[in-house]
Parts: sequence; C-alpha cells; structure tokens
Amino acid sequence: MAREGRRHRRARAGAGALAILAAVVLVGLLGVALPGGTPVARAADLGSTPPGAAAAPALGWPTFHGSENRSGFTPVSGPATDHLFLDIDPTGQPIRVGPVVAGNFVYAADSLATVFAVNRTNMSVAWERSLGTTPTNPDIAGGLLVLGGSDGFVTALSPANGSPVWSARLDGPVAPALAVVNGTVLAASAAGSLYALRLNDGSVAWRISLGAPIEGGVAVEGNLALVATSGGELVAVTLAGATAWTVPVGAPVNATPAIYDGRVIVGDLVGNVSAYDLGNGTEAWRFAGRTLAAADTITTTPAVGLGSVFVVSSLGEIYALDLATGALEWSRTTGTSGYPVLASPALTPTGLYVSDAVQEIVDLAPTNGTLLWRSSLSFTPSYSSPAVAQGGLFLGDDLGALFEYAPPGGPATYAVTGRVVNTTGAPIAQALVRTSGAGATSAADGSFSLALGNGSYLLNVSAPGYLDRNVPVEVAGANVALPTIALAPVPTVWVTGRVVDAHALTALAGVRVTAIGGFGVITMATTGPHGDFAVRAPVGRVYLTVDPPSGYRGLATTISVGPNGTSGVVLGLEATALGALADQHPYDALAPLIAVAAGVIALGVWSASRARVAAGLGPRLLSRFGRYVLMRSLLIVAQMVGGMFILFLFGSILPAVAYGASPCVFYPAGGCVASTASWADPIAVARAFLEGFGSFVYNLFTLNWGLATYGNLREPATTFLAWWFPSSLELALFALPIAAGLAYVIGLRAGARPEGGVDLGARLSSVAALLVPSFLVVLLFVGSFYEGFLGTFGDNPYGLLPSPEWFVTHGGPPPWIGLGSNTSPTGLPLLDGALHGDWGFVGLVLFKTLWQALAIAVVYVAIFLRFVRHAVVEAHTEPHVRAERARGLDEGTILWSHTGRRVIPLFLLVFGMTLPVYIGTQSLVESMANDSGVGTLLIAEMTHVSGIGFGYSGINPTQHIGNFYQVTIFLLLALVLIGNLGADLLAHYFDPRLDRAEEV
Amino acid sequence: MSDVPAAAPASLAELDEEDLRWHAPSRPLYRLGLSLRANPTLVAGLTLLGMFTAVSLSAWHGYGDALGSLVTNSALAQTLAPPPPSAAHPFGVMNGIGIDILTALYESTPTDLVLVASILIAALSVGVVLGSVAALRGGGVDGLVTVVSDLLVAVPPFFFVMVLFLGIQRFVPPNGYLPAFVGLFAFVLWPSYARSTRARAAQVARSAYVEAARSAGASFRRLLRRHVIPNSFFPVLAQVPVDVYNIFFVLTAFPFLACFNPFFTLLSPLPNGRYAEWGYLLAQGACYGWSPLASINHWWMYTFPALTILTFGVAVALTCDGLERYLLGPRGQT
Repeated sequence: MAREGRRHRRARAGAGALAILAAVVLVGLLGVALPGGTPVARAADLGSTPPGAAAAPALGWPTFHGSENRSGFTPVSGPATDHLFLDIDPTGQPIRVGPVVAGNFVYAADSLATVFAVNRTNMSVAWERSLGTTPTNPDIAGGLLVLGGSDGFVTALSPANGSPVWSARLDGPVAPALAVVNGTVLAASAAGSLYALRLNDGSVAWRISLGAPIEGGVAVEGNLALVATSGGELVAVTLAGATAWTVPVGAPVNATPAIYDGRVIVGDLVGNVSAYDLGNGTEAWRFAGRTLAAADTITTTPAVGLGSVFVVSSLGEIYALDLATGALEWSRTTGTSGYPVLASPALTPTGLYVSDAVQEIVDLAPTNGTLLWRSSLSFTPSYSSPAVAQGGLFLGDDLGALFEYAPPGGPATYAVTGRVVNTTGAPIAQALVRTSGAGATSAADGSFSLALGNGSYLLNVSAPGYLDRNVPVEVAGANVALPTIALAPVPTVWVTGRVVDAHALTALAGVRVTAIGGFGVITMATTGPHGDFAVRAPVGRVYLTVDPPSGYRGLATTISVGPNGTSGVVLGLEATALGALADQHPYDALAPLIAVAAGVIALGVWSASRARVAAGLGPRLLSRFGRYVLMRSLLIVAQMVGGMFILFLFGSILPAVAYGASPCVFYPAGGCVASTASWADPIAVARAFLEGFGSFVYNLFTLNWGLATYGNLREPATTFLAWWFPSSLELALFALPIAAGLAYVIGLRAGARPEGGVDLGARLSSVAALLVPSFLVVLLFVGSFYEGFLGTFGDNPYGLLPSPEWFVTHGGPPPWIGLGSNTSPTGLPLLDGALHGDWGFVGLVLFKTLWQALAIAVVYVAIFLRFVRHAVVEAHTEPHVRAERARGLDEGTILWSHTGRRVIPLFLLVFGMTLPVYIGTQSLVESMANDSGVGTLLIAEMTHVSGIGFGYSGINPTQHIGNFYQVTIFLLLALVLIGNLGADLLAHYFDPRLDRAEEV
Repeated sequence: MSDVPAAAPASLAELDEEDLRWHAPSRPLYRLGLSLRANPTLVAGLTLLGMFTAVSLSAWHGYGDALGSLVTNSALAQTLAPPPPSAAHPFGVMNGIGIDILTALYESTPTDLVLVASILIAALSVGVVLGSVAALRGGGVDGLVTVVSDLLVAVPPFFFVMVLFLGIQRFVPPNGYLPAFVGLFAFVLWPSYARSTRARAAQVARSAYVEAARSAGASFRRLLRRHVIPNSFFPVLAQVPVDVYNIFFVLTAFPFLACFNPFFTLLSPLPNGRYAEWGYLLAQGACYGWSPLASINHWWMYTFPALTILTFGVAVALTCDGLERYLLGPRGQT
C-alpha cells in the first residue's frame, strides 16, 4: 500500500495538470451537469432544519469536526467497545487530515499530498489522487470533495473517482478547514483573506481581507461564517461577504471556532476558552485553562453538545465546561500524566472520543469523564480528528493507517426504499439509484431498495433520457421509505444537417447518424435523399457519429448544441482510397508487392547498368552521386517494408496467437472479422498473415491510423498528430540547435587539445550523462529548479503549455487553445502565443521549452561527443592543417576555420546515425515533462497495447487499428530513414570524397 | 606484425599509409600483458572490472540459489522518514520495498555483470563476424548485411526491444525472460557493431597484406580469422560503452515507468517485481526517493544505484579506451 501511494505521489509529476484539463474536457463533452447544479429533491421530513433551533448535526461526518458548525457532535452513538472493524494502510504516509465519512466511503489525505477514498464495504482503497501539496481537511458537499492545500489551491474532486473538477488559487496556504454551504466554498488563507468560491466552478464570488494570518478553519452557522485570526480576533462574516462583527479574543488563535446553540466557542494559544453570542459577538463567559495546567495552549476545536463544552489542551488536559456559564464540570488528563492532544475530540450522546499524541484513543463518558474504553495501536501521534458516523469511529494515524472501530460484523444497515416514476407517473425501470458505496436499479414497477448504515446520504437517481435528481436521505436507526421520485425528461432540441462526401460534396443518403448527448440521451436518424438528417439532442456538447457507407470512413465529431438547437451541421466523410475494391481483400497485399517489384526492377536496372560498363558499352546511366541517391531511396522503401514486417509479426500476429484470437478475414478498410479457422490451419494462417500484413501496410500508407487515447482524450490518431506534431517540432527546433552548438564547440575544443582539460571534462561528463538514464537526468534537472520555477512563473515546469492552474490566475485558457492543448492557427505554441499577443503565455512557454530543450541537449550531446572526438582529433592533425600551422596561422583561426569546416560532414553523418537516439531522447523528455507532444503519445500509447494487435481490431469495424504505437514507430522509422538519407546527402555534398568510399 | 615505430611528425601520414599497406595496424592481444605499464587507462579499467567480478563472485557464493530475490525487511519498509546513509546503512535505506541499498546493490552485481556481458558478447560476436564477412565477401552478402543492419539501427533500441519483447513475452515463462531479453537485445545491438566493423573491414580487406595472404593461398576462413577480424574490430570498442548505457536504460526505464502505470511491469524483463538488479534498484530509487521538494527528496535512494551503474560503465569505457589505445599502438594515443 505504501508503495502504491508513493507511486501516485511521483506520478503527480504533471499528470495532474493534464488530468484536470481532461476532466474538465470530459465533463464538458458529456454535458454532465454537476450534481450541485441539478434539481435536488428534498424528502419532506428528512434533513430539514427548523429555523432558529439549535444546530441539528448531520448524521454523517462530511467535514472537519462533523459539520460546518464544527461542534464535533453527532446524535448517533459511536462504538461502545474497542473492537477494531477496519484497519487499512492506504498510502503508507501519515494521515493528518480527515477522515470524513459519506455513505460507505471514508475520505482522508496523507501528509504527502495524496487524497484517497476507502470503501468500507470491501475495505479497499477506491481511489487515490495526488494533489502535489500538503492538504487540508476535506469537505464533502454538493457532490464534490473539496479541499485546500498549502500551495494555496482549493481543489474540488469527484468523490466517485477522485478526478479533479476544478481548482482555484487563494493568496496563501489554505487554512485547515474549509466550509461548503449553499453552493459556496468558504476558505480562509494564511495570508489573512476569506474567500467565497462558487462550488460549481471554483470562481471567486467574493473575498475580504481580515488583516491577520488565519491558521484555523472556517465555521458556519446560519448566515454567518466565523473565523479566528492569529491576530487574536474572532470575526463573523455574512455569507454575502460583509463583516457582521469582530471581537478581540485576547490571544492568538490557531484553531477553528465551534458554534452550537447560538454560542461561538474558541480556544486560544494562552489556554483560554471563551464563548460569544453568535448574533452580536458579546462575550458570554471565559474560562482560563491555565488554572488547570500552566503554560498550556489550545490548538484544537472544542466538542460542543449535551449542554457542555469539551476542551482538550496540548498538555493533555481534558475538561468539560457548562455551555451556558462556562463553569468547570469535570476534568482529567489523557493517559497517566497527560499526553499532548493535537486532534479535536468527537462527541456523541454516549461517548467523548479523544485521540492523543501517543496514539491512544479513549472513550470517556460525557457526564463525568469516566474511561469507557481505550485502545492503543501503533504508538504514533494522531493528528487526525476522530470521526463518528454510521456507528463507527474513524481515525488515521501517523503511520498511515486508517482505523474504524465498530462492533463485530460492522454497523447495522437499514432498508431505504422508494419508487422512480416519470412526470406522468409511469414507472421507470432500470433507473440507477446511487450513493457512495451502494447502488441499485429500479425494478419494472420503478421500485428500488438500498441497504444503508446510519448516516446522511445523497441518492443520485438517473435514467437515460431523464434529468438526474439528487435526493438527500438520513438513516437514523430505522428503515426509510422515500416519497416517490419523479424524473423529468431531458429537454431536447433539433440538430439538423447533411452528410456529404468530404471532397466531392455530394450528398450521401441512407447513412445512419447517431447523436450522443448528456444524460445518456442517444438518438439516431438516417439521412434522406439529399443527405439531410435531423436528430433530437440535449443542449450542450453532443457527440455525433456516422456509420460509414461502403467506401467511406466513419466519422465522429463533437458539436456544441445551443438552446434553440443547431442546424446546418455538415458531416463530410472521407472516401477510402480502395473504396471501389471493397471486399476484394487480396488486393490489400498490393502495396508490399509493388514495393518488392520496385526493388526488383531497380536491382535489375542497377545490374544492367553494371553489365553495360563491364561489357564496355558505355558509361553508367547515372552519375555516381545519382546512383547513390537512387540506391538509398529504394533501400528506404525496402527497409520500411522490412520494419513493418517486424512490427506486424511482433506487434500483431504473435500477440494474437498468444491471446488465442482466431485468424482474421480482412476488409480493405482494415477491420477484421475473426474466422472459424484456427492457427493450426496453415492456409488460414497464411491468408491471415498476407491479408493482415497487406491491410497493415495499406492502412499505414493511407493514414488510416485508427484512434489513439491520451488521458481522457480519444481521437483519431491523425488528429493527435496534427495537434501535437507542431509542438514536438517546436521543441526540436530549440533542442537541435542547442545540441548542435554544444556538440560542435565542445567537440572542437576537446579535439584540438586531446587529453586537455576540455577533453577530459567532456569525456567524463559524457560518460556520466550516458550512463545515468536520461529520465533520471531529466528528474535531477527538474529537481534543481522546480521550486525556483514555481516561484518565478507561478506554474510548475511540467508540460509545454501553462498548466490549467496557471490559467486560473491568468484569466482562463484563451479560445485559441483547443481540446488537446493544441494552439491555433499554426500549432506552434510560441508562434501562436505571439500571434495573439499573449506575452505572458509566450514567456512561460519559452522557459518551459528551453529547459526541456536543454535537458534533451545534455543527454544527446553526451552520446554525440563519444562518436566525434576521434574525428576531430584526426581532422586537427591533417596535413593541410599542419601546413597552415607551419605558415604561422594562429590556433584559433585554424581550429574554427579549417578543422571546424572539415568536420561538418562528419558531424552530419554522426547526426544521421544517432537520429534514432535523438528522437528516443526527445520522446522520453516529452513524456517525463508531460508535454502535449508526439513522444508523450508514443509512450502513453504503449500502455494501450491490446491483446489483439494492429490490424486485428475486429471488435469495431470502424476502428481500424488497435495499437497506435506501431504507427508511431513506423513514423519514427520513416523519419529516421529519411533523416538519415538527408544527412548523408548533405555530407556527400560537403565532402564528395565520401562517394568513393561507398564504392566497395 | 611488429610495433609501429614512433614516427617523426612530419612523415606521420606517409608512415601510416605505408604501415597500413604492409602491416596489420593492430597489435596482437597476447602481448597485452607487456604493455600494461604504459597504459594506465587499461590498468584502471581492468582493475575496476576485476573488482566488480570479485564482488559478484562473492555475492554468487554468498547468495547461492537465492540470488536475485531481494532480501526485504518490513521494518525498513515501514520507516516513515527513511534515514540517510549512516554507519548501519552506508548507502542508506529504501523504504517502501524495505531494503538496505548497499546489500541490494551487492546482491545485484552478479546478475548485472552476467546480463551485460552476455548481451555484449553475443552482439559483438555476431556483429563483428557478420561485418567482417560482409566486407570480405562483398556482393550480395554485403548488401544484405548492410540493408538489414541499416533497418535495425533505425529504431531506437528502447522501442525496438519493447516491440520484440511484447511479441514473444506470452510464449516465454517468467524465468525465461532474462535469457530472452539477452537474445533480443543482442539482436537489436548487433547491427551497429556490424556496421562499424564492416566499414573498417572493407579497408582492411583491400589492404596489401590481406591481398598478400590471399595470393599466398590463405582460405577465406583463415583470412577472416587471422587478418580481417583482429584488425577490424577495434572501432566497436567506441560503441561498447554506449550500449552499456542502452542496456541499463531499458532495464531502468520499464520498472520506472511501471511506477506510474503498472502496464510497464509487463515489459520488464525481470522475472518478478522484487528482483535484485541495478536498473530496477535505480528505478525504484528514482520512484520512491526523488522529489522536486528538497524536504522529501531522499537523494541516496537513486544516487547510489546510479553511481554503481556509472562506475561500472566507467570501468567498461576505460577498458575499451585502453584496449583501443593498445591495439592501435602509438597511433592510438592521439
């Protein structure tokens, strides 16, 4: 488990940034309205708070100290014995915040940035998410898990899977407990500001400055938010952002105040506890804690309820005060002599739970402080405040364990029943009723039943084609029958358009168009004689797919549907090149046959030409250089086919055999249908291989590259390449000159004086950079400037583009950055930024590009130098150089003008030879830096290798290619071979003597 | 076949030409012992390699059948703030998997030495022989070797090994992963050796002494064994240290990527997830130890495995440089 957590901590390295972007994109794509924004049905007599009554604490424990009023009191009793029900070690790192409990899930975070959810039903970690910062107590409300961090970010995650929904940045580290009320997140910062952020998107509703650092959290009751400052003031702020009242506490406070029964109770750093009237701030009473233990301080939030205030002090004193008068009711110490207490206590009608710094959890009788039970587990401090919910007591410790004390067999469950109908009262079958940890589908009569333990839940009721509803349910020791839940149908609008041939623009009739919108609305239509279609779809992002007619490729696209519908959508289908040859698969083998034939013909011509010379019939047909170019070009084709053969054999055939897939019958567009033949049938195998290889080659050459996946993006591979090739190119345009410049200068200097300082230094550092794997070089590189970069630019150094967090504080992502972090119009981020005059963006991107280019150059130059050193030494001692030296030319001129020129062709040759290394290096650096680049995609795609390889993706005929990595390696091969040829030709151009060297 | 006398600078080039015309340029390996004193690079390299060999023999002897399976210690694994190097743990501790880094590196030495040696020996022998044969035979053989090796070197070894390993992995039981890895890696590496050998051997094959031997009736096999191979293989010595890098890169990269995505565990040639191997240790160290935040950056976790690989690489590089210098005689001492 510890390993798991650490993985995620490292995996944060930028992945979070893209994940946030991807999550935002996905949410947008599917048009899923956040639960906070959907209609919430209030069950008539459940969960409503009578106005003016004392706070009715929730049955769950959704936030720090149980509820937003921080009373730490819950009316449902906790465990009465020390029986340990759950002991799980989610990440192996200290758990100092949380836990909070909602339904069957327990949420907490470790001190090294990982937030996690534990499913109590199967006692497993449901998800983990690294935030990259020391987190505050989480708060679960409105369908989101909200928490802050020491880096100043407030982040909202999906409680279901931990995917980030939004994040917003405050002006300083976020205070330990934030509150969520009425769709607003109230968060204080250590810089002394109180923020109200909108729960649906994290935008700032208002912000006020309180003048002194805030180290405690926010408590909310009614219309007032209470915050105590380290300047010793207690401030009440209305939920509209106006200060209601301010009173001096008399000493700095770094704990969160508690509110109960119209009283605000706060403990301060000189050990006093004071109570104030919630309405106007007048002091009701004050208790000097130091009368019990000198030099004591209070850093925890008191538990308030049952007419008493229960305070624990940092020296281990526990005392109960009368809520009305502040009179001491009883006191005792933790342990034998008082162990420090760093966690706020929890209170139930039958027990006061206090965990102390030697990891002893004690249960005391609230009436007189008698010890009911105690349990010692790991003897490490616990900073995490115990949570009592659903009959269990939860807490985390500094060894990373999460415990639940509950009776054997776990807390009891109760049946929650209800019925789902539509607006006309007809039952909805198969409606999904979900809450954290439990779920059910409705029967044919719309009825459902869930088994839930004591606590508060939000049931999410959804059915395809209907708007979701969230129904709050509170289970308190009895079965609950919910009123009938009526779902309203999703309003839909018309989406109309035409399907045409993308080039000829002719109408395509009889084509099926499918629209997939939010709320699971799927509608279909078939195009009419003029290629026209009309489908109904919900407002928002709608995914349109077209099932291709014969001879065309499928199409999938996303459109944005407005409230009045959308018309004039034109879906252009690309014809497949072999459309006319449909279902004549043997033709697929044409491409390799043509290549082989071309090779044979070229060889014939070459031999004929040689024979002609041998027979004395005349000179060769082409010049020496011409022959060389011709040979090399032909070789490239042969090499590519050879490379594809290896890719196909190892990436498609062997995995298909290994996974037991049947041999396929191929269709020209690339899909394959498993035949009944087995691999033991040689004819079927031969046919599958030939057809498959033909299809493979054909698809590769016709850009029929299928879909690729990165994060939550799933797009045609060609789209990814169109998005990301320019940014990879831009990076190369920086990295190559830097590498070339460094290699040239260092190589020349080193070669000019072998065994000199530069030479030795270069050789040593080249060996070092060679042997330390390049990703570690990148890590060390990043580590050396990470904090400086963050401080200077307000963004982490990962990615080529600014992170979503950076955009949050810079006015949001501009419209010219697309879905895939691709910029427009050119795709080169720097150029596009400059074209749009966004100089802040350009500056940040420039520095991000530069460090990555430098990292690539460092690794690559090390490899490069090993190959060129000898050549420079040789060139520098050549006769003509020595002659120049004898003539008295100074060493500098000789080195740069003579040797320097002489080695250029050689450098080019070495560059051609090491091009694969360069590309490999750049891919890794891109991937390590989490760039939106082709290298990242290549490495990410390796993880999507399906058992059934390239050309074997028979599941969906429109999805031609299973393994995109084969495409990228093919491209790499093409790039390297052509680049090699280019480098060779350039070298020959510079040094014609090389032609002769080729003549063997 | 005598040593080339130290030439006066003015006629160095001419002497070289003359020398290459009549004499094999390299010196016989059996005289190596005599010239060690004049070749401190070689001495340093061989000493280091000797030390590694001694360490690995000792580990081999000590661990016996348990070699490879990391000795983990759950007390160390649970250490929250792993202590930096101390007297008890000179290279520090890697929590999480719970190992003493020094012990783990020690245990890994035989595996890595055998891995690197077998890959290099296999790739070198295939590459040098094919390259020499291609150069000496010429014609179709030469064309084939050239085309195939050009093709194979066009894909970065990292990706190439991955594709190949993925293809065969399901057919090989886990304890066959390492031998398969050696085979595949040798398959990926031989072309670069063949290429550089062929370039050199083509010159040698045209040289006067080979012509002389040929006209004296030497068989093809004898020409190859006595003349071409001994005089053509030294260019590969520059390549060998680079391939040590390539090998460790692959060994490290997959376990490292597996930190982020368990899929990559599939691509690791190690038979299990707790195998004593330097690259694996470095990957885990980078995984557990590295952080851009200085306070939780446990530098020793990745530094010592990296230094071990580095020292080994330097030993190989020094040995290769020294050998090259020795083989080339005084002319090699550029």
